[in-house]
Amino acid sequence: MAEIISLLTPRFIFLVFLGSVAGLFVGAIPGLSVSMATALLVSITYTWETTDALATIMGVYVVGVFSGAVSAILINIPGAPSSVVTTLDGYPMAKRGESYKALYYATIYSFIGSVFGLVALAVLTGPIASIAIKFRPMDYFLLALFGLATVGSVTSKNYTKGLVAAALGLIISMIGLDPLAGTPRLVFGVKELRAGVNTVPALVGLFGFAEVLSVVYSGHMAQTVEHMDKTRVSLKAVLSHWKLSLYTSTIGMLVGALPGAGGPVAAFISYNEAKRLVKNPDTPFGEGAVEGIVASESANNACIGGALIPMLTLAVPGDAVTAIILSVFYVHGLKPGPMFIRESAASFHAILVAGFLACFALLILGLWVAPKICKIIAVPKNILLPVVTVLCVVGSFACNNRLFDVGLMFGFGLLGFLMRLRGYPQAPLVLALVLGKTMDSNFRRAMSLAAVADNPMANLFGHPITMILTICTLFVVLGNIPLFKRLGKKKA
Amino acid sequence: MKQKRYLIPAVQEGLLLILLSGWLLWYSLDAYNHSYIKDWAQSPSLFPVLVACLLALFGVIILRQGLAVEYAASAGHGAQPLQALILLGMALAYYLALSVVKMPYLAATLFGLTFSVSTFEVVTVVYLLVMMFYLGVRNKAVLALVPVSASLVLSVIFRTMLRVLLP
Repeated sequence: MAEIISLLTPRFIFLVFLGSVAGLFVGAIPGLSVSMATALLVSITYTWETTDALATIMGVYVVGVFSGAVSAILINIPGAPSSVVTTLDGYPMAKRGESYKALYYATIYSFIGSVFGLVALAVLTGPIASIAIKFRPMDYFLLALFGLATVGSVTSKNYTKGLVAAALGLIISMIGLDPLAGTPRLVFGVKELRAGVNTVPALVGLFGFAEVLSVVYSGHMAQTVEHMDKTRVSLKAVLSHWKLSLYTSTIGMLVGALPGAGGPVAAFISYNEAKRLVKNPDTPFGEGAVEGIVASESANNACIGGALIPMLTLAVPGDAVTAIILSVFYVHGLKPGPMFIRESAASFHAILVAGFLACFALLILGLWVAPKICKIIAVPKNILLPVVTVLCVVGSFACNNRLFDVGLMFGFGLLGFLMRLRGYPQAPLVLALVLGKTMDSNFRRAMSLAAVADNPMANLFGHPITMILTICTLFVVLGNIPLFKRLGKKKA
Repeated sequence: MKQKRYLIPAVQEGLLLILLSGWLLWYSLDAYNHSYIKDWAQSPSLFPVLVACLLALFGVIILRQGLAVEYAASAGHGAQPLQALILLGMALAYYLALSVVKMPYLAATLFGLTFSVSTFEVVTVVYLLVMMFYLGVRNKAVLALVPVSASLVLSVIFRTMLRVLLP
């Protein structure tokens, strides 16, 4: 408790609030994204104290996820991927002259969802870490494989394309010196590649510059903003949906904890559940039902706490943003894993405290500031896109002070753009990029241990956690193969 | 109306993936032959070989998916590939300018803030101006103010306040 109170310095609170304000604008303006902002922050906060960096990033993360709802409601363009579902009912409400009411609901239930997720993080991290301490190299490999298999299925209609993206990410992660033997791989004589591909330029390129190219390619430069009305909203009426919120927050937290899944998946599942549970809403779903906003916003914000659980206990990110936050940890010399809570308790408490402070910042900013920024989010894209490109250059240069990384960033931007064009999801590539070296080294450690064991197969797969992870991975992979899908439908 | 037949994108992708996996397999086996580590369990070539095999399998699946389709969908309505290509070219020109142009570092302090002008600021102003003009901004005030102010604001925030080195 004393540690938590010692964190509540004016500087810490200020940095959380600063990050929250940045997150509000970044999440609300289409063309910018929380992933891009977090990737830029990795290099900007490189020389900062760890707690200061975590405070700012948590502010951006928590409020950034919520503020995607602002543009989703006002201009029918989700500012963040997790706000896609909010457009279904938020924008119809805005067109009916109830934009303030929609934003009010989004703010309150984003707050509830965020708090729920962070409480789950505080309560569940310890027990999960005590299970994670029993993990062996093969378990870490299978967990990462399970994450890649899952993310490939939830982020793309074509499962094979998701797996291809993951495989490309694994290939890119192999560039550089081998983690065990120290020999160079896929370096081609380029000395800058010996240290491997830094995740920051890759992420900034994939999420930042690729977005710029995609917007220009699509030709959709114009956008109009719905007028912000000043309807009075009763807090009692808003809070009457608390049961639906708690249910969908639980879904969001569990989906967030699944490696590779994230806000968009949680929001879709929760929206479908809301449609199933609420039989007679005042307004039908898809035409401005407040229950739709309650479900999607509670779930996508509860995902935040959920996604942090596997990241802190197993070093397996729950979504793209936590994959970037993992980079922050490594840059600052922290080691996420089963021992993280014991060895880096200060950083764990900093994440929790910053998260809760950001929730309150979300409430303040969502209720008083967000309704006033409708003009700002309509920044013309022909002004916004060049500035975003310059920000991408600055962010990718800042991590290692090398222009080579800027070139890498443009290369990844082109790759990301081509992937979007051809329907290949980027999330599996990002996840594989972050997990690739860990998968490689753990797999070879497992193979080396099995090679000297009396019964190699029993050594590899004979433990309960290994068996569970193997079954889960096979379940996900086989469940996405068309033959087995058809068999499953026939039986039903 | 006769449908124009294209080389289905999925067929292109499948072939590309198979070629990539073949190259990766060759590269990994060649690296293994030249390596002093001959135990596969510890070899740095093990994981690339496995990924290459998986990639080949995925390439074949995507190729099959492409061959099962009768015609290719055309590009989306309103798509502007040339504009995207020009944008990419401009970005690369910006990158080359940052690498090649060398300017002395000039600084001035005003109201407690240090404004610096160096390669980054000058090249960025030119880049923003050109790109905004290309994307359709014609308002002279915007074209004059936004590049200069954006460049200066970024310089002050990153270089002066956050002490982050700029290109």
